[in-house]
Amino acid sequence: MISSGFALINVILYSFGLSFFNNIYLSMFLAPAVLVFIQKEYLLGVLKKLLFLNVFIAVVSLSAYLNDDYNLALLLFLRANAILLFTLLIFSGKDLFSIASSLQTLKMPDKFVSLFFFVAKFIIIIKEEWNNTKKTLKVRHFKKRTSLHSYKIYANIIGMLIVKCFERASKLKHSMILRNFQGKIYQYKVEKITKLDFVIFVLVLLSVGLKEIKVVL
Amino acid sequence: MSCSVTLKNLSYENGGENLCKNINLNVSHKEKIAIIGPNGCGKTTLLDIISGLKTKCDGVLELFHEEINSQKDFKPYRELIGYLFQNSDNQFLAPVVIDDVAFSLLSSGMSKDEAYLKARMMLKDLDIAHLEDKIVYNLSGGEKKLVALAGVLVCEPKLMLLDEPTNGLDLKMQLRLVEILKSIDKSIIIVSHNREFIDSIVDKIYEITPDGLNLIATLKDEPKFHSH
Repeated sequence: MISSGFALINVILYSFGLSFFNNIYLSMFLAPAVLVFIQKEYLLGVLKKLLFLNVFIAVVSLSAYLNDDYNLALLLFLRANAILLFTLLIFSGKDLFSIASSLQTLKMPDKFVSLFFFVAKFIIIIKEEWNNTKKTLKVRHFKKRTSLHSYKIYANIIGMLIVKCFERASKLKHSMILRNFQGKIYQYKVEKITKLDFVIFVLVLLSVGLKEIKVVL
Repeated sequence: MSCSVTLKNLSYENGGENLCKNINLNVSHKEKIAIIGPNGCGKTTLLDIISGLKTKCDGVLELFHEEINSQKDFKPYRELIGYLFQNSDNQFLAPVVIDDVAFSLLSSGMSKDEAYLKARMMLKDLDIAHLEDKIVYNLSGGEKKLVALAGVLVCEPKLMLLDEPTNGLDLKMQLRLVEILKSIDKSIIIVSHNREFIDSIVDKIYEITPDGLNLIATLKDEPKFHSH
């Protein structure tokens, strides 16, 4: 099991390292390639997410391509995909709270960590509310149309989501008061750093450090 | 410290709307009472006022024999009051069950070892020790309610405020909750629509009306909750 704390360090290091690459090197795919083998059971899910994210990457790459900078377009496309693939793979199988847990492992300030815990909590809440709204639309026979009525419904849904989240936020504040919240979320089980974490760390260093084989375009 | 809650001519207004009016109530040490009333009559508001989440507009509020006039006055009693929310999800602050149950103890400065030991014992007492490492948001409604209750009970409050504790619970879970609450030797104020449930636990039942709070039943300690 990859430790969340070390995963975060590796992601930061890998993304920063790759962002300074001006050429495409084979080494930059080393860490994601090994991770594909380590996390192979999550590969299909990760590729689906990557495919969706490529819509945005394609827009950025396309703008470079339209400016006749083909090398930059390809570099942007491959670099972004490598970083995303690495990030998605390394955090595969972890829950929403793992980023907050990893920040806590890295001894980040308590209030900063709490913020991440609550962001994760609210992502769950919004998802829950959104799923409920979708169910309501289904049972009340809502049909998507390009009509003013449909747009009004969409606007109402967004408005209701905001109101519900605001309500939940005020309830959360009440809970903080009643439960003596002092700006810290406690964790009993802290993830241990394993050999695998060091292996990935070395791979990341090699990926961003080795610039031996340049892919000539 | 013996627990007592006294409300004298208490009222609360929000945006010109009178949510509670002329509320007079006295809850003595280890007394269990229930408050019933139609939707929107101010039952939850009353619990919010007693717990210090809302500030009364008028009247007298006494907690533990001391008059409370501001949020500052609540501070010494905050840890003596346990509040179980209607929606358990709102109550959770930590993502893992054991961390959430131990949360208030750790925040009050208790050592990690002691806090987690107490939390674990509480989970065992409520027969939910197997949930210890689970993420709270993935639990069923009944399990969430019990975890939230464990988080309240672990602090050993003198006064417990329970807002619709049977909401979303099946009959088996409700019976379990009755068993747990009957075994607790504390002052309890329950707000609920479930008459059969409150009849099994409380000593007195009050009803909120537009004119105030009326005592409508004084019950003897005999089980009335049946699994049919």
